[in-house]
Amino acid sequence: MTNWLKNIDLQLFAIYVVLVLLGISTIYSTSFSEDYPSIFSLNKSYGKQIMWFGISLAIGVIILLLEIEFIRKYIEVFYGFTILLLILVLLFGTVRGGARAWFGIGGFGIQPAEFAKISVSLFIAKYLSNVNLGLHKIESKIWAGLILLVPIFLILQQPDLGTVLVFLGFILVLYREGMIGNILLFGILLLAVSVVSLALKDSTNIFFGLEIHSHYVFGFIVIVIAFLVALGVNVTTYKRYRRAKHLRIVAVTLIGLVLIPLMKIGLEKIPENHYQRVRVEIILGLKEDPRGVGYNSHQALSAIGSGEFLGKGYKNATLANDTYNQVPEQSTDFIFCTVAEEWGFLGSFVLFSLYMILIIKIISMAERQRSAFGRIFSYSIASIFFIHFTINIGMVLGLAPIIGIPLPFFSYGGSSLLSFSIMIFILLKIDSDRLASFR
Amino acid sequence: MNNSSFESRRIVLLVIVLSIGIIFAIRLFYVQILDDKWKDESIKISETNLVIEPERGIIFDRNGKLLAANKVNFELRLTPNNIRDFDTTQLCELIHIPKDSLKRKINKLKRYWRSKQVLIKTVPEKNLSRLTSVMYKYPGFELAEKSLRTYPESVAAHILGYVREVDGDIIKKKPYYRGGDRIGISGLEKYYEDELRGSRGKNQFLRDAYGNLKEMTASDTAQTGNNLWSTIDSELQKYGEQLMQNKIGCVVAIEPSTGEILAMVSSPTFDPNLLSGDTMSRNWRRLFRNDSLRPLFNRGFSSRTSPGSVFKMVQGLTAWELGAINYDTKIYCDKNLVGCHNHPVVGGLADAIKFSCNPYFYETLKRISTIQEGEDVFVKSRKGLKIWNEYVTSFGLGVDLELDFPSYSKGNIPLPDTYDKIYKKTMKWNYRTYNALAIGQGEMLVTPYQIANLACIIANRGYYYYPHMIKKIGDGPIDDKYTKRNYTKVNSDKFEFITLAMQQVVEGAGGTASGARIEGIEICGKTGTVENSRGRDHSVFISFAPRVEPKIAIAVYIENAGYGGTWAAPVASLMTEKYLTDTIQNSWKEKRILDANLIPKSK
Repeated sequence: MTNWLKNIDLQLFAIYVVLVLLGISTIYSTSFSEDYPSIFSLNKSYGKQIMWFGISLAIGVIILLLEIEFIRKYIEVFYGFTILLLILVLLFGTVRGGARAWFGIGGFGIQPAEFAKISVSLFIAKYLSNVNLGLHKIESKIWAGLILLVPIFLILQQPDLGTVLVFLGFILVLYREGMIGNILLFGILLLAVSVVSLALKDSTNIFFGLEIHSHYVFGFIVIVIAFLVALGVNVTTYKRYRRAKHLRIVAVTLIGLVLIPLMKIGLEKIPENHYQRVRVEIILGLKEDPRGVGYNSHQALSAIGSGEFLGKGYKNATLANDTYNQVPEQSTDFIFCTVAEEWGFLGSFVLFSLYMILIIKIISMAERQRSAFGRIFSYSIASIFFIHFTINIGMVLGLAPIIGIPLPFFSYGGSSLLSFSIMIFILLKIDSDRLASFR
Repeated sequence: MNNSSFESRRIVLLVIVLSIGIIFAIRLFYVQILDDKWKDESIKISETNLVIEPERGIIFDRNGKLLAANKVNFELRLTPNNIRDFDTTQLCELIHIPKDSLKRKINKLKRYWRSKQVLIKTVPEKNLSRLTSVMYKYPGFELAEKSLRTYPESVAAHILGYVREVDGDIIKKKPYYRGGDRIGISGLEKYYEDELRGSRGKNQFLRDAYGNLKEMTASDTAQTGNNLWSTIDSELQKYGEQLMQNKIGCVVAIEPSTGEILAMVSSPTFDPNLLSGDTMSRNWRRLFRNDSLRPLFNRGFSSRTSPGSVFKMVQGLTAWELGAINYDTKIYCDKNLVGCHNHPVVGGLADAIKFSCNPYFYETLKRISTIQEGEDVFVKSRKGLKIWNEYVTSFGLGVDLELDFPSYSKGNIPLPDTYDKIYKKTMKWNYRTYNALAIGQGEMLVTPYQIANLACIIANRGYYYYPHMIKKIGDGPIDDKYTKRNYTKVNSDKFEFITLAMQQVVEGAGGTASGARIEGIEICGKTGTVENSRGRDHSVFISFAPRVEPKIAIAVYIENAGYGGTWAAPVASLMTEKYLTDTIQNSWKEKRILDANLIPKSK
C-alpha cells in the first residue's frame, strides 16, 4: 500500500505545501470579509483556493499512483489535446483582462495555456531524451523548436505575453542540453535586458554634467554585471580547451551596449500615436492603464514601500487588500504586494528565499536523474517556476513591464494552482522512480 | 550519454537564478528601507485628512447682548467633474437664482476646476428642507454647512469690523489659513483674530483607491474660538448712532474709572451685516467707492484734527503746574493777540475756561517760555516748547494709547524739531510762532478717542487707563497694561479746580455749553470750535458726569457744524443722560438733534 509513497522527496513536497498554505493565508488576508468569516467559504477567493488545493492534492495522489510508463505513453496525446484546447479557446473562449484565454465553466474558469506548460514540458523532455536523436542536427533543432513555437504562436493570438515568455524560458533547458551555446544564451539575456530597459520609467540623472536617461544607466549596469559574470563563469567553470574566446564575450557585450540606446531611439522614431508604437508600449506596460501611465506600478511600489522592515502585521495592510483596493489585481498578479506590506522586508526576503530554495532544489533533483527524460522535464519545471518568479516579482518591484503572470502557488487562481501542483507531483513521481528508470 | 559534457552548464543556470534573487532582494531593500519615497507615496494615496472647522468666538456687549455671532448657513458646492444633466428650473427656484446666472456660474467653475468648489454661499433658509430632499437629483451638487458671521444688534460696524474669506495673498503671508477659511479684516474681528478663530480639528481617514473613506485612524477635535466680552454698551452705541444720523463725525464715550470704551460712533455708519454673506463684495464696493462720505472710515480712531478749545484745560493745568500762572492769575483779554468773543472780564483760570478766552491761554504759553533760562527768546522758546510737549503728551495726546484695535491714529504734538523743519533756513522761531498751540490749533493733531481720554483724565483727577474695548477673553483676563493707571505730569490736586470750572462751562451764567445741562446731574464740559481748511468749523464738545465719581466721559466731533455748544454739546448731554438714567427728560432737545441734517450740501 505504501509503495507509491516510497522515495517521494519530502523536502520538495514540504516546500510546495508551505508555499501553497502561505499563499492561501495571504489571499485570506487580502480578501477577508466579515460576511464570510470562514476560511472555507466558497463565496470568497480563499475558500475557492482551498478547494483547488484539495483538488490538486487529489490529482497529485492519482499521479503518484500511476506508472511513469503510462504517463510517457500518452504524452503525445496530451500535447495534441492541449494544442486543440488552445485553438478552441481562440474560437470559443471568453475574454478576461484583454486576453481570450479562458473557458468559463460555471463560476470557475479554466486556462488551457496553464496546462500547455505541462504537456510541452513532458513532450520536449520525451523528444530530447530520445537516444537516437542527434541533438546537433539541424533537423532535430527544428522539431524541438516547433514543439515550443506552435503553442507560443497560439498563445500570442490570445494574446497572453506572460505565458509566451514562460515558453521562451525553455531556452534555459535547451541551453542545459547543449542545443544553445554560451554566447547565444548570453546574447539572449542581453536582448531581454535591453527590452526590459525600455519599460523603465523615464527619469533623467546627471552624470559628470551629462544628462543620462535612467534606463540607459540601468541597462549599462546590468550588462557590465552580466559581462563580469559571463567572464567569471567562462574562466572558472570550463577547462582551458573548452573556454569561449574572451573576445567573443566582449563583442556580445558591446553589441548589448549599443542595443539599449538603439532600442530606445528606434521606439522614439515611431510617431507618438502610431499603432505600432502604441502596441509596443502597451506590451511593455507603458500605456496599458486607463488612469495614467505607471499607475499599477506606482500603487504596487507604494504598498511595498509602506511595509518597511517588519511590515504592518497580518491582515493589517492598508493598501494591498480588497478593502482599500489601492493595488490592482492584488490577490492574483500583485499578491506579493500584500506580503511585502504585511510582513515587510523580512517576510519578503524569507519568501524570496523559499522560491530560490524551490528552484535550486528542482535543479539539484534534475541533476540527480539518471534518465535524460527526467532531467529535461525537471529543468523545464525549474525554468517555468523561474520565469514566473522573475517576471512577476520584477513587475511588482518596477523592474519589468507590467505583464500579467501569476506567482506560483501564491496568486489566486484555480488553473494555475492546479497546473503548478501537477508539475510538482509529476516531478515527485519521476524522481521517486529514478532508480528504476534504467529500463 | 552526452549528459556529462554539458553538466557544468548547471552552474551558469544557478548563477542566473541566484543573481535574479540577489537583484530582487537589493531592489526590495532599496524600496522598503533605504528610500522613503514610496513610504511617503503610500501615505499620500491612502490617507485623507478631513478638516473640522472650528466655530468662531462670539462677541458680547458689556451687558451680555450679542454683538457678533454665528448663524447656521448652508453652502451649495459643486464638483464639476461629477455633474450630469439636471432639472435647472427647479434648482434655480429653490436657490433663488435666475437660470442664466446659474448657468454662467456653473460654466465658469467647469472651465477652471474639476474638484469641489463653492457655487452658492448662502442657500435660502426656507427652501433648505425641500432642497435637501431633492439633492439626489443633482449629482455633483452638495449642501455643506458653513456658518456665517452675523451681527444681531446691527450696531458698532466700525468697532466690530468684518470677516472675509481668505485670498491667495493672505494664504501666502499666513500659512495657517487655507482656501475657504475666514479671517477678520478689520476692527475687533481682526485684532482678536487669533482668539476668535479657535483651532481646526482634523479627522484622519484611510481611504480606498476610489476615494471612499474607510477607517478613522486619528482624530483631533476642533477648538471653538474664545468668546470676547466687550466693553461696548450696545444700547448707548445704538442711541449714539441714531443721534449722529445725517451728521458727519464721531462720538467716543469711555468709563473713566476703567478706561472701558462704552461707545464709539463714527458717522455715517452702516449695518455690519452688509459685509457678511453672499452680497458682501457688492456692498463693500458700494460703501468703499461709491460713497463720498466714506462710511468705512473710522473717524473716532483714525481721523486727525486740531483739538480746538477743549485743549485749554491741558494748557491751563500745564501753565499752572509749571508756575507760569496761578489759578487766580488775571490776564487781560487782548484781542490784538488773537480773536476772542465778547465775554465778561476774566477773573482767573476758571473764568478763562468758562468763557474760553483765547488771549488768556496765548499768554500762558508765552509765559512758559519766558520763565525758562536762556540768553535770548529763541533759546527760551525752544526750551519752553520742549517742556510743554512733555506735559501735554502726558495727557495721552499725540502718543500711542495702545488701543486693542488693528489701526488707529496717534496724532502729533509738536516738538522743537517740527519748527526746525519748517524754518529750515533761518532757524529763527519763538513762542509767537507756535502760540496757536495754546488754544488747540496750529501744528497739533489729535484723534477723537484721545480727546475722550482727556475727559477721563480730568474726571479721574489726573490719571487714565489705556482705552480698550474688550474686558474678558474666553475665561482669561486681558493684557494687564489696560489695568494700570497712567498719571499726567500735573499734580492731581489741581484737577478738582478744573472740574469746577468745567461745571461752570455748562451750568454757570454765560458758560459756552448751556445746551448740555441735565436736570439733576452735575455735568462738566468744554466746548470747542475747530477751525479747519475744509468748510465750516467743526463742532466739538467734551464732558464727563457726574462731577463726583464720574461714570461716563464723552468726546463729540461733528464736522462742519459750527459752534461746539450748538450741536456737539447737546449730543454729549443726551448720551450722558441716556447712559446714566436710561431716559431723556427733554424730548424737544432729543428731537432737535435727531431731525438735524448737518451734512454740508457740497458732500
